Amino acid sequence: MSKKIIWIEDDVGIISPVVRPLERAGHKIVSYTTVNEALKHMSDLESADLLLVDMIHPPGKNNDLSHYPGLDLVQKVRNEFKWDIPIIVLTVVTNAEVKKQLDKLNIAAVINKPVRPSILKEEVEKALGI
Amino acid sequence: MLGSFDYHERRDAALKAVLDLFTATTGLPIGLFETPDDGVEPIISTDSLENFEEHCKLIRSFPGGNDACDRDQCLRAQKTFERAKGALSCCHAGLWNQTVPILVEGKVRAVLSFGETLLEDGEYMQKTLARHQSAVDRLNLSPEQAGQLKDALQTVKKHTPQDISKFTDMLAPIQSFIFGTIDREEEIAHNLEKVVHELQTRLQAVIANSENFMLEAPYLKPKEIQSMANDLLSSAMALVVIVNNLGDFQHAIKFEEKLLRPLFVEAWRIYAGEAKRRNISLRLNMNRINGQEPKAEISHQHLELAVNNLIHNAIKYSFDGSPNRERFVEVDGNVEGPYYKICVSNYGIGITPEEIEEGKIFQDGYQGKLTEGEYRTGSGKGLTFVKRVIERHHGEIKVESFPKGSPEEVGQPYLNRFTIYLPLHQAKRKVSQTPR
Repeated sequence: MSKKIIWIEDDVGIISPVVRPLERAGHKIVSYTTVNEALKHMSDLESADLLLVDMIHPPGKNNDLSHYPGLDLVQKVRNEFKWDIPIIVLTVVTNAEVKKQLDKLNIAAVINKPVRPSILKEEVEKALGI
Repeated sequence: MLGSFDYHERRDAALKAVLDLFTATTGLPIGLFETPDDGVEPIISTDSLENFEEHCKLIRSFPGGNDACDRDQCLRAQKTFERAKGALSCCHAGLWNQTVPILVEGKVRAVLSFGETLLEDGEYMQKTLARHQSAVDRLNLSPEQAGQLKDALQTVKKHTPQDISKFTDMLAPIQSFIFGTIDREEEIAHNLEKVVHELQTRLQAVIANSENFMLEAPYLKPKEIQSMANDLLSSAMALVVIVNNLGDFQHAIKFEEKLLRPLFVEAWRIYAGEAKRRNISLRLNMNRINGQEPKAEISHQHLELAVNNLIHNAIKYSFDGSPNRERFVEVDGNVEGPYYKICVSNYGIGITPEEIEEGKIFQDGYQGKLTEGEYRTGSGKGLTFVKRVIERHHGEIKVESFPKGSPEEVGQPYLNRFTIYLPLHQAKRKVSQTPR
């Protein structure tokens, strides 16, 4: 059963092979390199079956949580848009404060990179219930 | 953050310990002011009320007194920030305080303010009494309150201006040292975090390509196998570049005559996948030398990595191409005197004139100002490595960045050009000849 997955990832140019098994299984992956770009395509977001989100480590030294755009997006989806859509976080960010915030947002899984593509496919399909 | 280590907490604890020691030794309360963007406010201080003079506790207890004292402190600290110079000044209620700027690498990082003292000198006392009266009038104190305050003024500790100067001389270097040390540690940790991020990203590519290859290989045609193996090799080579950027490259410099074109062809091959996904192509135009393919005496392993970094940077900071708009990285090579001059150009995120003039763009760990908000992963080590390699070849690297399009255009594009002057021969290089 083919599903639409929106992937927000600033390094998609480098790590796109990680979603290859998902694509080969017939799922449609639509990627955006920034949160702002994703938010400009609301119809895509609204029609997605799952969001795959990188926290996107901000430049600068400030560890203020508001500087993690991925976290902003997840909070917006849950608290402002009030969408129930499954969200998986796939990231290198291990900031404890970020994790604490994610725990409050009903995330299906938080996966730290690097991850094997087969594992990512398993987690995505588990979150999608297929 | 590595291990969730909070540098601000650690720094504040160290600073507070010194401030507490100062108060314990001198009996004088002391505050530290940092300036957030929207104004000066005390961040940490030993200004627990038990350290205040009775006079100050009393005035803060009167309506409006607390606000007046805080405002007065902040204003005096603000002036010190602006002038980067300390001052002995009288507070709104007549007590004397010294502000001390804490300088790290010429910049005011914070301001100390200590005192709440009377100065044993006629001129200072005159000012004290005038200010004191002014505070009484402004706060609209009753005769009883004014009397209490005047009595409390008599009990305030007295010092000489020389005492205050000695305290200042003692404090300023200690605080500057603490700030500077913690700043440096934080910067090292931050840079390490960026490197880890970049390594994990490249490792992700290697792992993804490896597993995909392993799972699909039984079903692939030979050409597909070759293509996937190539992707795997490229992702591994890209990882090698990051790892080699981290340290001083351990292999010894060894010059031998080598062709230059293959360096750029191979570098492009490593990043071809990323470039293709972003619709960026390569234009390679390396002119011959006396009818022959360009060669130079180079330390191949070093220059190979330097070129990989340059090409990777050019792709990374290019804007994406589209069917209607071609984006390319251009490499042009020509002989110029005893050098082979190579220009690597791209069209994308720019570099500011200050970053070029001050050489910041080549500083270890530095990320260009115009890359902020673009969220392109990087450790800031690539160009540092490139410069080091070129200099070890007795060459030179220059950078230019020209804004294109309208300044109002969101994500204004720049034409960036890195120009390398690479000596053709090492042994015969004349010391007096330098690139233009």
